[in-house]
Amino acid sequence: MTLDRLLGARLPGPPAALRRGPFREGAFSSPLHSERRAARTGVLLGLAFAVCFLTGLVSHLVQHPPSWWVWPASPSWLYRVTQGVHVATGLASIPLLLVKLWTVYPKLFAWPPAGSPARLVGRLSLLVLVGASTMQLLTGLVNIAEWYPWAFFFTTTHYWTGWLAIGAVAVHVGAKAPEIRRGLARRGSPAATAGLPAGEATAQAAADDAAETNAVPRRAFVLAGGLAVGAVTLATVGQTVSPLARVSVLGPREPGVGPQRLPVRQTAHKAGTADVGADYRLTVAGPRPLSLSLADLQALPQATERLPITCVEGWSANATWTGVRLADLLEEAGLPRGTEVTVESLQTGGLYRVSTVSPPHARSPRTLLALRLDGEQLAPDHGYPVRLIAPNRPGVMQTKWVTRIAPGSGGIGA
Amino acid sequence: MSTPLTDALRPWWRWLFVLPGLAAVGYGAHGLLTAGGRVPLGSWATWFVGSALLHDLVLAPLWIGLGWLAARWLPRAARPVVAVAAAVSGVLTLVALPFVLARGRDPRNPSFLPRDYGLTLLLVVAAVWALAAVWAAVAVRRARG
Repeated sequence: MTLDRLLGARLPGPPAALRRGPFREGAFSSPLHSERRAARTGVLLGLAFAVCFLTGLVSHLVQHPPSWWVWPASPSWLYRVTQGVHVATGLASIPLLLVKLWTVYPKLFAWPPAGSPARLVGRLSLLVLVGASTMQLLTGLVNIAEWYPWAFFFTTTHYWTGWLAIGAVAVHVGAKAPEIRRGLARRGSPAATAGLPAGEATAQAAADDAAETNAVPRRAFVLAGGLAVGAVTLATVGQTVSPLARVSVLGPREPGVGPQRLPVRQTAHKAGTADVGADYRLTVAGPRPLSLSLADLQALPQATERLPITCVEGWSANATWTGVRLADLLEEAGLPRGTEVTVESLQTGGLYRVSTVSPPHARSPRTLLALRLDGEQLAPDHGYPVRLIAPNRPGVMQTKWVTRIAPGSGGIGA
Repeated sequence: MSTPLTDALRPWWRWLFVLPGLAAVGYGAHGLLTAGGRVPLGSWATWFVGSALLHDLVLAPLWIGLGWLAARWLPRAARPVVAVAAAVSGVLTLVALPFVLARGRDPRNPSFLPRDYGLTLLLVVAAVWALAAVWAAVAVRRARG
């Protein structure tokens, strides 16, 4: 009870003369700034954040697998779906978050600004919720534009801030449980005003009725939100849903556009691998070590697989790859099929120079050391002379310009 | 003191959100604080607070200001259509802005940002408003008729 007294104690408010502009009573006239609209938009936004969080977590676990995590090689399109959904849902959350914040915006100017210590704590906790949500969506968007106007490493920051965001959303749902129950109840039903003092209940019911016939009515509000989500999605989702490639005119990538009609993330120029000479060798460590020239690799039995490249940035595209099966090569080197191996690139630096091929992918007959793309020799930007292409892996783990394969783990995916 | 109308402990399911939520916030905060050089906290805090302020002090006032102007100058029947068109074109502009600015563009990688995003955005927004203008004219006419 002492705690109740303390938290509920009335704090001295600022002088009433300061109550101007947006702080005035009734400064925001639309009846759509309501508990009801906030709850209903919030359900959609909360679901979108849950999907973003889970798909993001999958991507993190694939790239930084703990010992208990197993990521299969089949179906080959699974990561393409989870990461495509991650970015598309994040983009769709931008209009949803803006709409949600609009519904509650007048609360920012509540008077007095903090009536009690409990209110003060409550408002500060909202800073965590709003800060984490807006930051995740804004930096996520700027990141897929490959623009890094910050000093932090994006993926680490996005991962930990993601925990902050989903946690703050969950706490908010719990804290607002009575409001959410009222907001989701049928309009005019007793449940829609349950727990409110009589005067407030009448006012809230009247406002919700007024929202139906407001100059900008509820139906326009719903239409605006729905069309905004639809427009953003349609304008960008073709970067991963290739039939919509021509429709998604604001997407940062277009499947089918790039060298050999396939988009590129890391160029050979940036990797310092633009001029691979005749002295190129692929070495495979093992009981019977191998050292193979490009001609040697071309002379080995070739396999052709249709597999997608999926960038963590949310674009993906299918392509037809031809090359030597990794499992065949491991066997040739005296290693059992399914041996966990590292694949090293010729590139001299970068976080993704080395990747680990886990047993399911090392064993899969669809995992290739590709020499050709859609029948042509690989373009330098696609990893000439040899790249790894495995089913169901993010693009950062599809190592290009491969020069060494060795048992063990290291780099990305270790 | 009057008794509160709502019981802070109920509904019971709120704790299924609050407790795991607090744990997730704690885990995330711990991760950020121990990430070392990968997450310089000054830069992180700038984007954390800055993103919220960008909404609260720039985007929201801009939207509410436009709404105020619309309420003052537009016939009532046109306002729903204009609000919808403003929401759609506004959010498309916001999402496309980093691609229009194209600060990450690499002349050696033409597969990244393959279009003229400024022009494309302009055409899309123009199409949205052309449609809205027709729709608004019809709505105003109907309201008068």
